Amino acid sequence: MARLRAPGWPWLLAHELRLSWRSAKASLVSFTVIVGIFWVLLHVAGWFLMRSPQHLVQGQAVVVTGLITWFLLFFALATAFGLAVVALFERGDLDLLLSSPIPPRTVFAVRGLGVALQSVGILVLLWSPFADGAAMHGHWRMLAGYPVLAAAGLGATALAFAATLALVRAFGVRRAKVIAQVLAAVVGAGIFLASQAANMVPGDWQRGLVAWMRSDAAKAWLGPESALWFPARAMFGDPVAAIAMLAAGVGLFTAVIVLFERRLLEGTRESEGPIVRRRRGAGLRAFRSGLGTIVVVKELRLLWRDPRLISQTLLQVLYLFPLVFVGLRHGRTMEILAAAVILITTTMAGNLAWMTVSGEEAPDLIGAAPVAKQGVLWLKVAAALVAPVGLGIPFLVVYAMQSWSAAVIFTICFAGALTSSAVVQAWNARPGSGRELRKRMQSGKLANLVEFVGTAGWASACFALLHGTAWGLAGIAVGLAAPALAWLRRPDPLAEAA
Amino acid sequence: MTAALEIRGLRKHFGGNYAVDGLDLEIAQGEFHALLGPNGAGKTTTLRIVAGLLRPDYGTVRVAGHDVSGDPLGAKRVLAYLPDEPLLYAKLTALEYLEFVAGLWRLDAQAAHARARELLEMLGLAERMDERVEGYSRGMRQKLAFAGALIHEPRVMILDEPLTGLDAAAARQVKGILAQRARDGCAIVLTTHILEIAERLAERISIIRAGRIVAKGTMEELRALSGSRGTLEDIFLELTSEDTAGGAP
Repeated sequence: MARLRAPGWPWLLAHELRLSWRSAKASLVSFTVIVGIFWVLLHVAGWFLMRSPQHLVQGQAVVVTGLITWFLLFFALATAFGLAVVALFERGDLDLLLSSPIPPRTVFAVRGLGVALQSVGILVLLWSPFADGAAMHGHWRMLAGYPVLAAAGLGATALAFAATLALVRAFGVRRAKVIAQVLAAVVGAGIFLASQAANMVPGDWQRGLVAWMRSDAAKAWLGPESALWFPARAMFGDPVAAIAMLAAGVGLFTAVIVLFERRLLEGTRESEGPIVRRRRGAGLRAFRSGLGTIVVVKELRLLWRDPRLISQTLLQVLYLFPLVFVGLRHGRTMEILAAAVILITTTMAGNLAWMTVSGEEAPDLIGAAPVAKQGVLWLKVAAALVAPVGLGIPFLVVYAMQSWSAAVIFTICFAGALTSSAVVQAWNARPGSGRELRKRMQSGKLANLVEFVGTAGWASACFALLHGTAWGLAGIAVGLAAPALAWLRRPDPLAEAA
Repeated sequence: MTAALEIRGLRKHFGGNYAVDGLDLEIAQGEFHALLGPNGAGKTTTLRIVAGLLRPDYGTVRVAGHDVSGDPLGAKRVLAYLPDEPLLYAKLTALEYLEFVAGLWRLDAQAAHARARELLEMLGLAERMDERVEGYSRGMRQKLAFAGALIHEPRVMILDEPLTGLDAAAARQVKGILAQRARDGCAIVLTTHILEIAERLAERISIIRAGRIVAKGTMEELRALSGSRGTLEDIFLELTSEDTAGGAP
């Protein structure tokens, strides 16, 4: 840092990287060791696999390589989308930076470089063993993948910044944040779902797709000479493709920063200022009464108004979909669907219960109020269960229409799973942990593990009982044991508070 | 007459250190009392015990006759606590926040709504009562938290640095409201590092150091105790300096 002359862009970039490193360092040490070992092992694999890498971009092989490359590029775009919102609207230091004598263009460029680095960081990590392995065999061109990935990161960041600004212009800052978070989740999940598409579609569709891909019409689009595989060729060191990718990425990034500097400035300033969106006559509405009502209403409002929570919850739900499709393809529709619904809704219930219970923003207010804290705690849990129960009820109706026994089994397992998940979070309440879902992982690892085991127990119990095997009773036993363990290991709620 | 706040032999330790070490204090109804002390003296710990947020190791605390340990809900019902950095719900509007606070104190909804609007009007927040708190400035948040503390018309108010973040006009307004509340019979205990405020507003002042009250009384009594004719600042520095060993009169 000291050697870099302040306040130039390298100095500012070093500052950004230092902040990122320090914010992640605490949880990264063990992760880095594990990834490091994995990375070394991948290098060994890369050395064996990359003796003649050019075969991977010749003939029909380029189709697979090209698809993988597009998958990686979309991954970078989804990551950049999520990071752009944080970089432009949620970091608290823009006031300081934009009020300093550093040109705003430099500030945004550096922030963009940070986003670009983070959006392709994991890809570089995964790519490097294969590029390095090829280079060790004398295929130096493969090292072109590094600058191409960097350019891809810059291009993805430029698109993410531009799209975020467009959303701000169309919907205002607050809604833009919500939409951008949801879009990032959907794009991210979309990539995953696309990768699972072959497993998800019915067999007839798969056969039809294969037949189309062999047709002449498809060859024009997907044949080895298609322009679609340009990025893959660039990654593998084709000089023209690599230079074009570099020019496109750097050019797009520079253009967005230079052309949109004023809009970036306006957008960030708008987000820093007071949000004036008045609902006419809202102040005239009478207050609600009753402790239960006001606690549940307050929690539902806070959950609904949290864009990041909505996107993360949506993402978790979307990621569970392939499981459902795989099950459906194997003909166990009822059993798999029930287990999947339990997994999805209970995961959601656990997240929401953590947010309402441990994400409480004003624990002192609740603590100083003349109400029984345990009563408020269970009301918060009830609020967290509203959405998951709402999601599960239509499935219950479907099961009731098919068979009463199936409906009873589903109801017992569904209720058991939701209750198990909710009470584990309630008994491990740590109010004031911060209203960010990512902090859940740090605030109670054992509770999270116990919650997952309980959920898995109930889901497997539902699957087995609907299938007609007595093994479902073992699942119920696991499902009941999980909250019992959580109760035994619960922290003393009266350790500090009176 | 029952004291508004009665603290006897209060002790609380964290790790090996006593944050509060044998503190006694009695505050009458309608009294405006300032609790002063250097950083780490035990003021906030004392206030948090009174508010029922911390359990004392020893000693008793009674709020309007209600034992905070034995009858916490009774004590909390008549008490308002404003922490030094009040945390509000960023995604609620000012009016929704006050609706929630009123619900916690089980106030009549209609009366609470009228009271909330009156408080927001009084504190200059009425124009923005339907905006979310995340868009509020520090001073506006402080005023909203203050409105939350007043909505149930408490008999005892425990205020930890209540004027932090307020501009001059808002600070004067809050001081005026507090003085009026005291005249109406509400006991007010306030901590502040701005000694002029304590000197001007408080009838009695307690100076706390290392978890113990080293002096308490009116300004005249404190002057007599310290042997100084100076300002409260002079007396405070005299009584809390490292080489001063003092005890309450």
